Amino acid sequence: MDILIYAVAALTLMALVFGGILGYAAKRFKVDGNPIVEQINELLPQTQCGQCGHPGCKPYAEAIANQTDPINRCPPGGETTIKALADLLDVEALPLDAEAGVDSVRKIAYIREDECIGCTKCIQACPVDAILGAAKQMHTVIIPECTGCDLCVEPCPVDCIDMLPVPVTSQTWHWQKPEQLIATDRHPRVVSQGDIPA
Amino acid sequence: MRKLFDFPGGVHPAQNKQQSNPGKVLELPLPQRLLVPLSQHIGAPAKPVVKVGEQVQKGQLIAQATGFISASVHAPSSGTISAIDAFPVAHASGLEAMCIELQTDGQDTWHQDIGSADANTLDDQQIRQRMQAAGIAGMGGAGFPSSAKLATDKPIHTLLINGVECEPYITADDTLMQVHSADIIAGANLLLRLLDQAKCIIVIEDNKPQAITVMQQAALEHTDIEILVIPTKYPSGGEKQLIENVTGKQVPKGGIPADLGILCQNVATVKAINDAVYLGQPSIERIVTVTGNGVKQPGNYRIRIGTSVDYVLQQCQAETHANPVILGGPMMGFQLPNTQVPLVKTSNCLIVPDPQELPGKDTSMACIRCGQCEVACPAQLLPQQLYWLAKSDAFDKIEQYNLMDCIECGACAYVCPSQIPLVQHYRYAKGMVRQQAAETRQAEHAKLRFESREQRLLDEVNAKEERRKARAAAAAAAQAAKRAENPGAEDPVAAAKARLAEKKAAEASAPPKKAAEVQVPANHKDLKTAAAIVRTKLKKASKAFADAQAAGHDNTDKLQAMVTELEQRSEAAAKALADFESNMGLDPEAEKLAQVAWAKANAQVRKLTKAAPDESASDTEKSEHQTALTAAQATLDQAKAHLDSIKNPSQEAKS
Amino acid sequence: MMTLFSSPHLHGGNRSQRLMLLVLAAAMPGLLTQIYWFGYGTLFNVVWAILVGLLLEAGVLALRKRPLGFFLKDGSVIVTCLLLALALPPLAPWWLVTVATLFAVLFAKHLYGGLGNNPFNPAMAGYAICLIAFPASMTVWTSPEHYFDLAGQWQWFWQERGNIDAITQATPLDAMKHLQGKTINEMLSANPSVVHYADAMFWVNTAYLAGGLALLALKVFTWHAPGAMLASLGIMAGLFGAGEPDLYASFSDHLFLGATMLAAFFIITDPVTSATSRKGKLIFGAGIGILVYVIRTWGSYPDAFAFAVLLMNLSAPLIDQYSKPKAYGQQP
Repeated sequence: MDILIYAVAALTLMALVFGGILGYAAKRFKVDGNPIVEQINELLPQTQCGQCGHPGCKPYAEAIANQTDPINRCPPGGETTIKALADLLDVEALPLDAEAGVDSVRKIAYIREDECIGCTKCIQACPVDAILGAAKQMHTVIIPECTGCDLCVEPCPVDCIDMLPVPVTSQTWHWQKPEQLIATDRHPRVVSQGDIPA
Repeated sequence: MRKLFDFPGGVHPAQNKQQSNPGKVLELPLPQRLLVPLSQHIGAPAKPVVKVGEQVQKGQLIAQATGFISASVHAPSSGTISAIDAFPVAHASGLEAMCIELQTDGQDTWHQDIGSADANTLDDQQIRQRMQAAGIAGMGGAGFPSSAKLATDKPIHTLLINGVECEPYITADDTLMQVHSADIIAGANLLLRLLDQAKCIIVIEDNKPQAITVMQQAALEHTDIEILVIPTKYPSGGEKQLIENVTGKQVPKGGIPADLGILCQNVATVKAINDAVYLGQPSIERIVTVTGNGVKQPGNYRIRIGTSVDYVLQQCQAETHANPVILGGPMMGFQLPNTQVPLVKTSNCLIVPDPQELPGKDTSMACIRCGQCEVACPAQLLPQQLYWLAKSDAFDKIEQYNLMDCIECGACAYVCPSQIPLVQHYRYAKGMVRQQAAETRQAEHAKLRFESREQRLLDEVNAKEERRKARAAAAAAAQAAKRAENPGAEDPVAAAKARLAEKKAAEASAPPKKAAEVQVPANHKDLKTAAAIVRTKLKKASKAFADAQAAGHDNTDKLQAMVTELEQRSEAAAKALADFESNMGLDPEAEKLAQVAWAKANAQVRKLTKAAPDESASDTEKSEHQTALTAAQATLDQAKAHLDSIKNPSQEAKS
Repeated sequence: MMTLFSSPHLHGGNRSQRLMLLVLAAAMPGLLTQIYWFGYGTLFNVVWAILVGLLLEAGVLALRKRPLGFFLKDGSVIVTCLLLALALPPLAPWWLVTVATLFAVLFAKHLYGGLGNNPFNPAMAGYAICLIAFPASMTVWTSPEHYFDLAGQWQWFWQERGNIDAITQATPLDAMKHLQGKTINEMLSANPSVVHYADAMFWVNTAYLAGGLALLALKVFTWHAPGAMLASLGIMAGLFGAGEPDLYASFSDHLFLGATMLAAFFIITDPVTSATSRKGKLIFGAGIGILVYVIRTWGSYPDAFAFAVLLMNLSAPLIDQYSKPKAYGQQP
């Protein structure tokens, strides 16, 4: 009988002690806010393009964090962003959702300035204030600020905005990854820059 | 005897230096065309200060340095500026960059301001000015503007002059030292004058005995200049490796040699400094080694900056065997995608290999982790780890392995038994790391801008709300005061509504008055605009009318009249437009069709031009393509003419 | 547009094939000495292992749709099989050699992705599997005084017929492990054959040492792994041997008996499975040395290279993680 009492007492005591520790830890090491949203937001390309169906990158980050949206709805981020998100959230990387758009080369908006009528509609659409101009004055894009979200293309009444790929200059050019070519017995000296997995 | 140190790693490739007969400078006839790039250095490109068609004299400033790290560009000979435009330049990418094209007049006359000076009468500031004006950029290969390098505020105790020239094949510096030893020593003395209390060490690899003898002779009388001979080992000419070799100290990570009190300059740069200060001559020529088994007359040529590689190859009777020509040494140089590019201040060597000499890459095999690359690496890196990481695109991890410290010397790939193109993997990874860093910066920036915009919009809305509230409060207060004064007045709300409706009606009625003042439009575009304007007004007025009726206001008949009038005006304008169009023979439908036809033809032509068969295509293919292109061009011309005729029928009638 | 290559455009002419050939050549003195002292068994093992190995390699390459000639020529499978055969006892029958080779080539090498991707030393993996699966067959060692002639060996190799009790004996390391209450000196004076065996092993080890030093001079590998291994084994043996010479085999016994030199210069220098950096190789080698001493002295196996090497192979990624060299110019 004593044994039973001791055992129950010991267990109760331990439950109290560990409960206390856990309670203290929960208070002491409480994490403020939801940093995962910030972390996801850091990985998104911040084009604020809305192609994911959210009005900007932060709302999409919140949607991912709440698991209401998959990680593959960001065309400007493409493969890389999906991979990074998959790493962060420890989920499987999905192929880019075709509904949201296609992953493509980085583009920048250009206004054909002699066709611009100065309606300011694109200025209102631009999420990063990268378009300069005033009513009835010609508008232009501040190239270094443009994120290539193409939100300004739709509102333009005279279709004078082009999305052009960012040109490669000798400053931004770099060597490509050596390609992988498999040699065969017949062409053992296939000129290749890649190596062959044995 | 100075104690020599060593640096980690390094390899001993076959030298192949005798091929180019070091010790003798050969001259080339002045080319007719010189193409001078605006950016021949690290840093901001120079800004042109001449115009197309302008006559320039040899040595005249044609592009001014912009900013601290930049170098001016001068006319390499006298003649006429024929273009300032983008041309392909000597870069591994084959991309274009801004250049000034000069047609030489053969006179080669110096600009009147170029003149020699007695350095003893110049003060330090003047010497620096003359150096800066000459646009000298490191001629060893990196092309760092020399004046910027010299303008360090750290105390310099050692001036290292780099005559190592550790790459195989190249003998340009060797030759320069043999031929211009006195100039190099004089240049070194100038630098010593600018650097208080420094001593000078001229470092030469022991595979250049003649240069060593000549330089020792020249330096005999100068006690503060030492000629130091170091053992041959690649890449002992790298700045960091040279410093460790001579002083035993490593340049701190992320630092520069000046952190150790050392300033490094290449011998050719020092010679250029001498020319700039004593003779007033800017940096417009250099010695270039032209070598390789494909060259019939190899040697070291004095070449004007801007001389085309093609011209040099032709003058030296080079046979390229369809092999790419290498600009620079075999270890760090690059294959030229195009030989129609100009030589610049940093071009030290042209190698035209025959097919056996520098064979293309064999198929590479799997990395067996043998570790030979690690032994060869002069930067103390782990090349094979970098390789695995670069191969799997692990760019954040690769930075922890100090990829950015890689000097791309190629020692690892030189020893790799599996023949893996390691350097290209690293270059790719470096490019991607830089690109991703730039993208992250851009994203961060965009986020800030987005957030500040959101904040601004929110503030605006709030401010509006505030103002509205304030106005409402003020109005209420005024009303209350009024009522207190005059309790028998009519309901203020009803009165306000009536006023509002009146105002709306007035607004709607105003524009037609203005429109009436507009003169009868004379041309098509104006007619179109006028019709559109009237249409819009009509819509607005109809809406105001409907609103007013719904609200039950009493002055609706005024509005109704307005609407009727506008309806008439709108019809009239539409009719005027249609009349005008039919008078002029314009047909909007036809124009649209013509526009589509033209765009289609245009796309066809562009597509064909893009898909032009390359050199290797057979003649039939080429001629077929040519025919198709001509046909498409004809269609395009037709479509264009048709479109023009529709757009502007009166002109056609005139012509 | 022609294909452009990144620099360097010069290559030192070093080839994987050359490295493999050098290793093969350097192992020859050891092989010959082993044959001289212990008969033709090793020769049979080597030839058979290489034949089986080449066949397996060709088969796997064909299955994986890789070019045969290109990879067979690299010589890596020959080196693996040679080293495995040298480590096997001279009286290993054909099926044992076959199984060992199969494990080495098929399981340890190709199942992990082939040359360059295998985490475990294939030769040692094959050896260890057989040591666990067939302990009796893996521990029959011929005495240097009596061994089969060519015909006898032939028969034994294929049919395992013949009186092997007459020609087998315990290896010196085995004898020193099972002293049964005697001191080492008492045991040795009671068993002159063990002393003779030890002499033979000394020469075999010396031959491998010579080959290894030649490879070192030719810069096929750096001194770090073998140096660290020999040093750590020597230090352990020296400490314990000097403390209680009656119970623990001496410094020279440990360095020149068993497979010490073969392992030091031919097995642990396998680049694929060892640590990467020079610092890492020092740790890797030292770890093997210590493990070998521990297993030889206190474990249940008289020699222990297979286990020591495999254990350190396991640790190689961890060692790599913590032995990154300091960046150039980084302040300590």
